[in-house]
Amino acid sequence: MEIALMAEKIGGQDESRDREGAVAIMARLIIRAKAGDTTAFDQIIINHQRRVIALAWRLLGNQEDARDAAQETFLRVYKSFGRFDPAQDFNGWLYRIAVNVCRDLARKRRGNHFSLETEVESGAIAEPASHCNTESAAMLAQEQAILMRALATLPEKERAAIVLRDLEGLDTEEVARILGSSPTTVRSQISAARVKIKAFRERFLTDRRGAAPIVRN
Amino acid sequence: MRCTHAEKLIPLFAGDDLAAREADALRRHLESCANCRRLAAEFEESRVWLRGFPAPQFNDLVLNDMRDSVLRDIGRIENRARRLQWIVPGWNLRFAFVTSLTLLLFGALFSLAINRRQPPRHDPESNKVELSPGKTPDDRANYAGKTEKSKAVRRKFGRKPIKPGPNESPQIEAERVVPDLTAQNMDAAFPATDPADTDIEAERVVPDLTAQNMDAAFPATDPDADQDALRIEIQTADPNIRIIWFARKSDASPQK
Repeated sequence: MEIALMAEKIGGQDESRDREGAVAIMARLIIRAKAGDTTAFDQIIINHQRRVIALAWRLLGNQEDARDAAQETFLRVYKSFGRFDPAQDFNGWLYRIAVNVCRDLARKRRGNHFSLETEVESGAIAEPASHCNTESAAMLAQEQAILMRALATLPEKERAAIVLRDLEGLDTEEVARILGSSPTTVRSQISAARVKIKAFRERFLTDRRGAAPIVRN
Repeated sequence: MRCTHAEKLIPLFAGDDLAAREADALRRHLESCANCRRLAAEFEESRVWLRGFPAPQFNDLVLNDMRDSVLRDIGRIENRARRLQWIVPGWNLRFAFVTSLTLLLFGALFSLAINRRQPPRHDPESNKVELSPGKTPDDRANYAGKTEKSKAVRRKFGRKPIKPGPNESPQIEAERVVPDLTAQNMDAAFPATDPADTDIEAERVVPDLTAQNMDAAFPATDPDADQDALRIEIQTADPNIRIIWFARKSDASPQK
Protein backbone atom coordinates (compact mmCIF):
# COMPACT_ATOMS: atom_id res chain seq x y z
CA MET A 1 0.00 0.00 0.00
CA GLU A 2 2.78 2.38 1.00
CA ILE A 3 4.75 1.42 -2.11
CA ALA A 4 1.72 2.20 -4.27
CA LEU A 5 1.29 5.55 -2.58
CA MET A 6 4.99 6.34 -3.02
CA ALA A 7 4.83 5.33 -6.69
CA GLU A 8 1.82 7.59 -7.16
CA LYS A 9 3.66 10.43 -5.46
CA ILE A 10 6.74 9.90 -7.63
CA GLY A 11 4.48 9.69 -10.69
CA GLY A 12 2.83 12.98 -9.70
CA GLN A 13 6.20 14.61 -9.17
CA ASP A 14 7.33 13.38 -12.60
CA GLU A 15 4.17 14.77 -14.14
CA SER A 16 4.62 18.18 -12.53
CA ARG A 17 8.31 18.13 -13.50
CA ASP A 18 7.30 17.34 -17.10
CA ARG A 19 4.78 20.15 -17.03
CA GLU A 20 7.39 22.56 -15.70
CA GLY A 21 9.81 21.37 -18.36
CA ALA A 22 7.19 21.93 -21.06
CA VAL A 23 6.48 25.40 -19.71
CA ALA A 24 10.21 26.23 -19.70
CA ILE A 25 10.61 24.98 -23.28
CA MET A 26 7.58 26.99 -24.31
CA ALA A 27 8.97 30.11 -22.62
CA ARG A 28 12.26 29.70 -24.52
CA LEU A 29 10.39 29.24 -27.78
CA ILE A 30 8.35 32.37 -27.12
CA ILE A 31 11.47 34.44 -26.40
CA ARG A 32 13.12 33.18 -29.59
CA ALA A 33 9.96 33.80 -31.64
CA LYS A 34 9.68 37.31 -30.17
CA ALA A 35 13.22 37.96 -31.37
CA GLY A 36 12.09 37.02 -34.89
CA ASP A 37 13.09 33.35 -35.05
CA THR A 38 10.65 31.84 -37.55
CA THR A 39 11.71 28.27 -36.70
CA ALA A 40 10.71 28.83 -33.07
CA PHE A 41 7.40 30.28 -34.19
CA ASP A 42 6.86 27.28 -36.46
CA GLN A 43 7.39 25.05 -33.42
CA ILE A 44 4.82 27.09 -31.46
CA ILE A 45 2.32 26.58 -34.29
CA ILE A 46 2.98 22.83 -34.31
CA ASN A 47 2.42 22.66 -30.53
CA HIS A 48 -0.87 24.58 -30.57
CA GLN A 49 -2.43 24.17 -34.00
CA ARG A 50 -4.67 21.22 -33.07
CA ARG A 51 -6.14 22.97 -30.05
CA VAL A 52 -6.66 26.23 -31.92
CA ILE A 53 -8.27 24.65 -34.97
CA ALA A 54 -10.49 22.43 -32.77
CA LEU A 55 -11.63 25.45 -30.76
CA ALA A 56 -12.32 27.36 -33.97
CA TRP A 57 -14.27 24.43 -35.36
CA ARG A 58 -16.39 24.20 -32.21
CA LEU A 59 -17.07 27.92 -32.32
CA LEU A 60 -17.63 28.28 -36.04
CA GLY A 61 -19.04 24.90 -36.97
CA ASN A 62 -17.20 24.15 -40.20
CA GLN A 63 -13.74 23.07 -41.24
CA GLU A 64 -13.01 25.74 -43.81
CA ASP A 65 -13.80 28.60 -41.46
CA ALA A 66 -11.92 26.86 -38.65
CA ARG A 67 -8.83 26.61 -40.85
CA ASP A 68 -9.06 30.28 -41.83
CA ALA A 69 -9.59 31.28 -38.20
CA ALA A 70 -6.58 29.26 -37.02
CA GLN A 71 -4.42 30.80 -39.74
CA GLU A 72 -5.53 34.31 -38.83
CA THR A 73 -5.01 33.54 -35.13
CA PHE A 74 -1.35 32.57 -35.61
CA LEU A 75 -0.76 35.58 -37.83
CA ARG A 76 -2.17 37.87 -35.14
CA VAL A 77 -0.05 36.11 -32.54
CA TYR A 78 3.05 36.77 -34.62
CA LYS A 79 2.14 40.42 -35.13
CA SER A 80 1.31 40.97 -31.44
CA PHE A 81 4.30 39.13 -30.01
CA GLY A 82 5.96 42.46 -29.29
CA ARG A 83 3.22 43.27 -26.77
CA PHE A 84 3.18 39.84 -25.14
CA ASP A 85 4.71 39.59 -21.69
CA PRO A 86 6.45 36.19 -21.27
CA ALA A 87 5.33 36.18 -17.62
CA GLN A 88 1.72 36.07 -18.88
CA ASP A 89 -0.12 32.80 -19.56
CA PHE A 90 0.53 32.07 -23.23
CA ASN A 91 -2.37 29.64 -23.63
CA GLY A 92 -4.87 32.15 -22.25
CA TRP A 93 -3.51 34.83 -24.56
CA LEU A 94 -3.69 32.47 -27.53
CA TYR A 95 -7.27 31.49 -26.67
CA ARG A 96 -8.27 35.13 -26.36
CA ILE A 97 -6.91 35.88 -29.83
CA ALA A 98 -8.56 32.75 -31.27
CA VAL A 99 -11.96 33.60 -29.74
CA ASN A 100 -11.74 37.18 -31.08
CA VAL A 101 -10.79 35.95 -34.55
CA CYS A 102 -13.68 33.45 -34.52
CA ARG A 103 -16.06 36.18 -33.40
CA ASP A 104 -14.92 38.44 -36.27
CA LEU A 105 -15.17 35.63 -38.78
CA ALA A 106 -18.61 34.55 -37.54
CA ARG A 107 -19.88 38.11 -37.98
CA LYS A 108 -18.50 38.21 -41.51
CA ARG A 109 -19.97 34.85 -42.48
CA ARG A 110 -23.22 34.87 -40.59
CA GLY A 111 -25.66 32.25 -41.83
CA ASN A 112 -23.14 29.53 -42.62
CA HIS A 113 -24.48 26.18 -41.53
CA PHE A 114 -22.34 23.28 -40.65
CA SER A 115 -22.85 19.58 -41.15
CA LEU A 116 -20.55 17.05 -39.56
CA GLU A 117 -21.42 14.47 -42.21
CA THR A 118 -20.29 16.78 -44.98
CA GLU A 119 -17.09 17.47 -43.09
CA VAL A 120 -16.37 13.75 -42.69
CA GLU A 121 -17.33 13.06 -46.30
CA SER A 122 -15.04 15.81 -47.54
CA GLY A 123 -12.19 14.09 -45.69
CA ALA A 124 -11.20 17.12 -43.66
CA ILE A 125 -12.11 15.41 -40.41
CA ALA A 126 -10.82 11.91 -39.83
CA GLU A 127 -13.27 9.40 -38.41
CA PRO A 128 -12.24 8.02 -35.00
CA ALA A 129 -9.92 5.06 -35.50
CA SER A 130 -11.09 3.26 -32.34
CA HIS A 131 -14.52 2.61 -33.84
CA CYS A 132 -13.97 -0.28 -36.18
CA ASN A 133 -17.63 -0.98 -36.28
CA THR A 134 -19.07 1.23 -38.97
CA GLU A 135 -22.48 1.24 -37.32
CA SER A 136 -21.20 2.58 -34.02
CA ALA A 137 -19.02 5.06 -35.90
CA ALA A 138 -22.08 6.31 -37.73
CA MET A 139 -23.92 6.57 -34.41
CA LEU A 140 -21.09 8.58 -32.91
CA ALA A 141 -20.95 10.88 -35.92
CA GLN A 142 -24.68 11.39 -35.63
CA GLU A 143 -24.43 12.19 -31.94
CA GLN A 144 -21.63 14.63 -32.64
CA ALA A 145 -23.74 16.27 -35.29
CA ILE A 146 -26.59 16.64 -32.80
CA LEU A 147 -24.23 18.12 -30.27
CA MET A 148 -22.83 20.57 -32.76
CA ARG A 149 -26.34 21.57 -33.71
CA ALA A 150 -27.07 22.12 -30.04
CA LEU A 151 -24.03 24.40 -29.82
CA ALA A 152 -25.08 26.16 -33.02
CA THR A 153 -28.39 27.14 -31.45
CA LEU A 154 -26.63 29.07 -28.70
CA PRO A 155 -25.93 32.79 -28.89
CA GLU A 156 -22.31 33.71 -29.67
CA LYS A 157 -21.26 34.57 -26.11
CA GLU A 158 -22.98 31.62 -24.46
CA ARG A 159 -21.43 29.32 -27.00
CA ALA A 160 -17.94 30.66 -26.40
CA ALA A 161 -18.40 30.42 -22.64
CA ILE A 162 -19.64 26.82 -22.66
CA VAL A 163 -17.01 25.66 -25.17
CA LEU A 164 -14.20 27.16 -23.10
CA ARG A 165 -15.58 25.96 -19.76
CA ASP A 166 -16.98 22.49 -20.52
CA LEU A 167 -15.12 21.43 -23.66
CA GLU A 168 -11.73 23.09 -23.21
CA GLY A 169 -11.87 22.60 -19.44
CA LEU A 170 -10.82 26.13 -18.43
CA ASP A 171 -12.00 27.51 -15.09
CA THR A 172 -14.59 30.30 -14.89
CA GLU A 173 -12.07 33.04 -14.04
CA GLU A 174 -9.91 32.08 -17.01
CA VAL A 175 -12.95 32.04 -19.30
CA ALA A 176 -13.93 35.48 -18.00
CA ARG A 177 -10.42 36.81 -18.74
CA ILE A 178 -10.47 35.37 -22.26
CA LEU A 179 -13.93 36.71 -23.05
CA GLY A 180 -13.26 40.04 -21.38
CA SER A 181 -16.26 39.68 -19.03
CA SER A 182 -16.75 39.34 -15.31
CA PRO A 183 -16.90 35.84 -13.73
CA THR A 184 -20.52 36.51 -12.71
CA THR A 185 -21.51 37.23 -16.34
CA VAL A 186 -19.68 34.14 -17.52
CA ARG A 187 -21.45 32.01 -14.86
CA SER A 188 -24.86 33.23 -15.99
CA GLN A 189 -23.92 32.58 -19.65
CA ILE A 190 -22.75 29.06 -18.79
CA SER A 191 -25.92 28.39 -16.80
CA ALA A 192 -28.17 29.51 -19.67
CA ALA A 193 -26.14 27.45 -22.17
CA ARG A 194 -26.39 24.30 -20.02
CA VAL A 195 -30.17 24.65 -19.75
CA LYS A 196 -30.49 24.98 -23.54
CA ILE A 197 -28.18 22.06 -24.28
CA LYS A 198 -30.04 19.84 -21.81
CA ALA A 199 -33.35 20.73 -23.48
CA PHE A 200 -31.87 20.03 -26.93
CA ARG A 201 -30.49 16.65 -25.80
CA GLU A 202 -33.82 15.62 -24.27
CA ARG A 203 -35.62 16.42 -27.51
CA PHE A 204 -33.05 14.40 -29.44
CA LEU A 205 -33.37 11.41 -27.10
CA THR A 206 -37.17 11.51 -27.30
CA ASP A 207 -36.96 11.48 -31.11
CA ARG A 208 -34.55 8.53 -31.06
CA ARG A 209 -36.67 6.50 -28.66
CA GLY A 210 -39.88 7.27 -30.52
CA ALA A 211 -38.81 6.27 -34.03
CA ALA A 212 -35.78 5.77 -36.21
CA PRO A 213 -32.99 8.26 -35.51
CA ILE A 214 -33.77 11.61 -37.00
CA VAL A 215 -31.03 14.00 -37.86
CA ARG A 216 -32.19 17.43 -38.76
CA ASN A 217 -29.78 19.12 -41.11
CA MET B 1 -33.83 26.91 0.20
CA ARG B 2 -36.82 26.84 -2.07
CA CYS B 3 -37.07 24.69 -5.20
CA THR B 4 -37.39 27.74 -7.50
CA HIS B 5 -34.08 29.07 -6.19
CA ALA B 6 -32.48 25.62 -6.32
CA GLU B 7 -33.53 25.19 -9.97
CA LYS B 8 -31.61 28.33 -10.83
CA LEU B 9 -28.47 27.06 -9.11
CA ILE B 10 -28.52 23.46 -10.35
CA PRO B 11 -27.05 24.17 -13.86
CA LEU B 12 -24.01 25.76 -12.19
CA PHE B 13 -23.86 23.10 -9.48
CA ALA B 14 -23.56 20.45 -12.23
CA GLY B 15 -20.32 22.01 -13.43
CA ASP B 16 -19.03 22.84 -9.94
CA ASP B 17 -19.30 26.54 -10.70
CA LEU B 18 -21.03 27.55 -7.48
CA ALA B 19 -19.40 29.26 -4.53
CA ALA B 20 -18.75 26.86 -1.59
CA ARG B 21 -21.47 28.40 0.59
CA GLU B 22 -24.16 28.18 -2.12
CA ALA B 23 -23.07 24.67 -3.09
CA ASP B 24 -23.42 23.48 0.54
CA ALA B 25 -26.90 25.04 0.85
CA LEU B 26 -27.98 23.38 -2.42
CA ARG B 27 -26.50 20.03 -1.38
CA ARG B 28 -28.60 20.17 1.79
CA HIS B 29 -31.70 20.99 -0.26
CA LEU B 30 -31.02 18.12 -2.70
CA GLU B 31 -30.91 15.67 0.19
CA SER B 32 -34.47 16.59 1.09
CA CYS B 33 -35.97 17.23 -2.41
CA ALA B 34 -36.30 14.34 -4.85
CA ASN B 35 -37.40 16.52 -7.79
CA CYS B 36 -34.41 18.78 -7.53
CA ARG B 37 -32.14 15.75 -7.08
CA ARG B 38 -33.49 14.29 -10.35
CA LEU B 39 -33.00 17.61 -12.11
CA ALA B 40 -29.41 17.81 -10.86
CA ALA B 41 -28.77 14.28 -12.15
CA GLU B 42 -30.15 15.22 -15.59
CA PHE B 43 -27.88 18.25 -15.80
CA GLU B 44 -24.91 16.15 -14.78
CA GLU B 45 -25.77 13.63 -17.51
CA SER B 46 -26.11 16.36 -20.11
CA ARG B 47 -22.73 17.79 -19.11
CA VAL B 48 -21.07 14.38 -19.37
CA TRP B 49 -22.66 13.97 -22.81
CA LEU B 50 -21.27 17.35 -23.86
CA ARG B 51 -17.82 16.62 -22.48
CA GLY B 52 -17.82 13.27 -24.22
CA PHE B 53 -17.82 15.12 -27.48
CA PRO B 54 -14.27 14.57 -28.72
CA ALA B 55 -12.31 17.24 -30.49
CA PRO B 56 -12.35 16.61 -34.23
CA GLN B 57 -9.18 15.07 -35.62
CA PHE B 58 -8.00 17.19 -38.49
CA ASN B 59 -5.93 15.65 -41.25
CA ASP B 60 -2.22 16.42 -41.25
CA LEU B 61 -2.66 17.72 -44.78
CA VAL B 62 -5.08 20.40 -43.59
CA LEU B 63 -2.83 21.33 -40.66
CA ASN B 64 0.34 21.47 -42.79
CA ASP B 65 -1.44 23.56 -45.38
CA MET B 66 -2.58 25.98 -42.67
CA ARG B 67 0.92 26.19 -41.18
CA ASP B 68 2.51 26.78 -44.61
CA SER B 69 0.04 29.61 -45.25
CA VAL B 70 0.89 31.22 -41.93
CA LEU B 71 4.65 30.98 -42.54
CA ARG B 72 4.23 32.33 -46.07
CA ASP B 73 2.32 35.33 -44.73
CA ILE B 74 4.94 35.87 -42.03
CA GLY B 75 7.68 35.76 -44.68
CA ARG B 76 5.81 38.43 -46.64
CA ILE B 77 5.51 40.61 -43.52
CA GLU B 78 9.20 40.18 -42.73
CA ASN B 79 10.24 41.05 -46.30
CA ARG B 80 8.23 44.23 -46.10
CA ALA B 81 9.81 45.07 -42.77
CA ARG B 82 13.28 44.34 -44.15
CA ARG B 83 12.67 46.73 -47.04
CA LEU B 84 11.68 49.42 -44.58
CA GLN B 85 14.71 48.61 -42.44
CA TRP B 86 16.94 49.21 -45.46
CA ILE B 87 15.54 52.74 -45.64
CA VAL B 88 15.62 53.43 -41.93
CA PRO B 89 17.67 51.16 -39.68
CA GLY B 90 15.90 50.38 -36.43
CA TRP B 91 12.51 51.08 -37.97
CA ASN B 92 9.62 50.98 -35.55
CA LEU B 93 6.29 52.67 -35.11
CA ARG B 94 7.51 55.26 -32.63
CA PHE B 95 10.37 56.23 -34.91
CA ALA B 96 8.00 56.48 -37.88
CA PHE B 97 5.64 58.69 -35.87
CA VAL B 98 8.40 61.03 -34.71
CA THR B 99 9.90 61.25 -38.21
CA SER B 100 6.59 62.04 -39.86
CA LEU B 101 5.80 64.63 -37.18
CA THR B 102 9.17 66.32 -37.70
CA LEU B 103 8.70 66.33 -41.48
CA LEU B 104 5.24 67.84 -41.11
CA LEU B 105 6.54 70.55 -38.80
CA PHE B 106 9.41 71.31 -41.16
CA GLY B 107 7.02 71.49 -44.12
CA ALA B 108 4.72 73.87 -42.27
CA LEU B 109 7.60 76.19 -41.32
CA PHE B 110 8.94 76.14 -44.88
CA SER B 111 5.58 77.07 -46.39
CA LEU B 112 5.17 79.83 -43.81
CA ALA B 113 8.57 81.28 -44.73
CA ILE B 114 7.74 81.16 -48.45
CA ASN B 115 4.40 82.89 -47.89
CA ARG B 116 6.07 85.72 -45.99
CA ARG B 117 8.55 86.38 -48.81
CA GLN B 118 5.91 86.35 -51.56
CA PRO B 119 4.90 89.88 -52.88
CA PRO B 120 1.25 90.90 -52.61
CA ARG B 121 -0.99 89.90 -55.48
CA HIS B 122 -1.82 93.48 -56.50
CA ASP B 123 0.89 96.10 -56.37
CA PRO B 124 -0.79 99.53 -56.17
CA GLU B 125 2.39 101.45 -57.09
CA SER B 126 3.12 99.69 -60.35
CA ASN B 127 -0.62 99.12 -60.85
CA LYS B 128 0.13 95.63 -62.16
CA VAL B 129 -2.64 93.14 -62.30
CA GLU B 130 -1.77 89.48 -61.95
CA LEU B 131 -2.58 87.49 -65.06
CA SER B 132 -4.93 84.61 -64.88
CA PRO B 133 -4.12 81.54 -66.97
CA GLY B 134 -5.28 81.76 -70.60
CA LYS B 135 -5.02 85.57 -70.80
CA THR B 136 -2.29 87.38 -72.71
CA PRO B 137 -0.71 90.53 -71.29
CA ASP B 138 -2.29 92.53 -74.17
CA ASP B 139 -5.77 91.51 -73.09
CA ARG B 140 -5.00 92.70 -69.62
CA ALA B 141 -3.58 96.02 -70.85
CA ASN B 142 -6.63 96.70 -73.01
CA TYR B 143 -8.94 95.85 -70.20
CA ALA B 144 -7.01 98.01 -67.73
CA GLY B 145 -7.01 100.96 -70.17
CA LYS B 146 -10.73 100.67 -70.79
CA THR B 147 -11.62 100.50 -67.13
CA GLU B 148 -9.40 103.50 -66.33
CA LYS B 149 -11.03 105.51 -69.12
CA SER B 150 -14.53 104.59 -68.01
CA LYS B 151 -13.67 105.48 -64.43
CA ALA B 152 -12.44 108.92 -65.55
CA VAL B 153 -15.63 109.50 -67.53
CA ARG B 154 -17.77 108.55 -64.55
CA ARG B 155 -15.77 110.79 -62.26
CA LYS B 156 -16.38 113.70 -64.69
CA PHE B 157 -20.12 113.05 -64.87
CA GLY B 158 -20.40 112.34 -61.18
CA ARG B 159 -22.17 109.07 -61.75
CA LYS B 160 -21.90 105.82 -59.95
CA PRO B 161 -19.95 103.12 -61.80
CA ILE B 162 -22.18 100.66 -63.59
CA LYS B 163 -21.64 97.20 -62.27
CA PRO B 164 -21.54 94.39 -64.82
CA GLY B 165 -24.48 92.01 -64.82
CA PRO B 166 -24.08 88.37 -63.85
CA ASN B 167 -23.58 87.28 -67.50
CA GLU B 168 -21.70 90.33 -68.67
CA SER B 169 -17.98 90.67 -68.99
CA PRO B 170 -16.18 93.82 -67.82
CA GLN B 171 -15.44 94.67 -71.48
CA ILE B 172 -19.17 95.01 -72.21
CA GLU B 173 -19.48 97.28 -69.21
CA ALA B 174 -16.69 99.49 -70.56
CA GLU B 175 -18.44 99.75 -73.93
CA ARG B 176 -21.68 100.77 -72.27
CA VAL B 177 -20.15 103.93 -70.78
CA VAL B 178 -22.01 107.09 -71.85
CA PRO B 179 -19.68 109.09 -74.08
CA ASP B 180 -18.73 112.64 -73.14
CA LEU B 181 -20.85 114.65 -75.54
CA THR B 182 -19.82 118.14 -74.59
CA ALA B 183 -19.14 120.47 -77.44
CA GLN B 184 -15.39 119.99 -77.23
CA ASN B 185 -15.66 116.26 -77.18
CA MET B 186 -18.21 116.25 -79.97
CA ASP B 187 -15.62 117.86 -82.19
CA ALA B 188 -13.19 115.17 -81.33
CA ALA B 189 -15.80 112.43 -81.64
CA PHE B 190 -17.34 113.67 -84.92
CA PRO B 191 -14.71 115.73 -86.71
CA ALA B 192 -15.98 117.72 -89.59
CA THR B 193 -14.72 116.03 -92.70
CA ASP B 194 -16.11 118.56 -95.16
CA PRO B 195 -14.81 122.16 -94.86
CA ALA B 196 -18.28 123.38 -95.90
CA ASP B 197 -19.71 121.81 -92.82
CA THR B 198 -17.79 124.22 -90.60
CA ASP B 199 -20.49 126.87 -91.01
CA ILE B 200 -23.16 124.47 -90.02
CA GLU B 201 -20.93 123.52 -87.17
CA ALA B 202 -20.68 127.14 -86.08
CA GLU B 203 -24.44 127.47 -86.10
CA ARG B 204 -24.78 124.29 -84.18
CA VAL B 205 -22.71 125.57 -81.24
CA VAL B 206 -24.88 125.90 -78.17
CA PRO B 207 -24.27 129.21 -76.47
CA ASP B 208 -23.44 129.39 -72.79
CA LEU B 209 -26.67 130.71 -71.36
CA THR B 210 -25.76 131.19 -67.73
CA ALA B 211 -27.15 134.30 -66.03
CA GLN B 212 -23.86 136.21 -66.21
CA ASN B 213 -23.37 135.35 -69.83
CA MET B 214 -26.93 136.28 -70.62
CA ASP B 215 -26.23 139.82 -69.47
CA ALA B 216 -23.20 139.90 -71.71
CA ALA B 217 -25.00 138.33 -74.63
CA PHE B 218 -28.05 140.58 -74.44
CA PRO B 219 -26.86 143.90 -73.03
CA ALA B 220 -29.50 146.45 -72.28
CA THR B 221 -29.22 148.92 -75.12
CA ASP B 222 -31.10 151.59 -73.26
CA PRO B 223 -29.91 152.42 -69.74
CA ASP B 224 -33.33 153.83 -68.90
CA ALA B 225 -35.00 150.86 -70.30
CA ASP B 226 -33.04 148.72 -67.82
CA GLN B 227 -34.91 150.41 -65.04
CA ASP B 228 -38.17 149.71 -66.78
CA ALA B 229 -37.29 146.05 -67.52
CA LEU B 230 -38.60 143.30 -65.36
CA ARG B 231 -36.35 140.30 -64.95
CA ILE B 232 -38.03 136.96 -64.14
CA GLU B 233 -35.80 133.97 -63.35
CA ILE B 234 -37.11 130.44 -63.16
CA GLN B 235 -34.82 127.71 -61.89
CA THR B 236 -35.50 124.31 -63.46
CA ALA B 237 -34.87 120.96 -61.84
CA ASP B 238 -31.54 120.80 -63.60
CA PRO B 239 -29.22 123.22 -61.79
CA ASN B 240 -27.49 124.05 -65.09
CA ILE B 241 -30.69 125.35 -66.71
CA ARG B 242 -32.30 128.58 -65.58
CA ILE B 243 -34.98 130.38 -67.55
CA ILE B 244 -34.62 134.18 -67.49
CA TRP B 245 -37.35 136.28 -68.93
CA PHE B 246 -37.08 140.05 -69.51
CA ALA B 247 -40.21 142.09 -69.90
CA ARG B 248 -41.10 145.74 -69.75
CA LYS B 249 -42.66 146.84 -66.49
CA SER B 250 -45.35 148.70 -68.40
CA ASP B 251 -46.25 145.39 -70.14
CA ALA B 252 -46.43 143.58 -66.85
CA SER B 253 -48.57 146.22 -65.09
CA PRO B 254 -52.28 145.61 -65.34
CA GLN B 255 -53.91 147.77 -68.00
CA LYS B 256 -56.48 150.05 -66.82
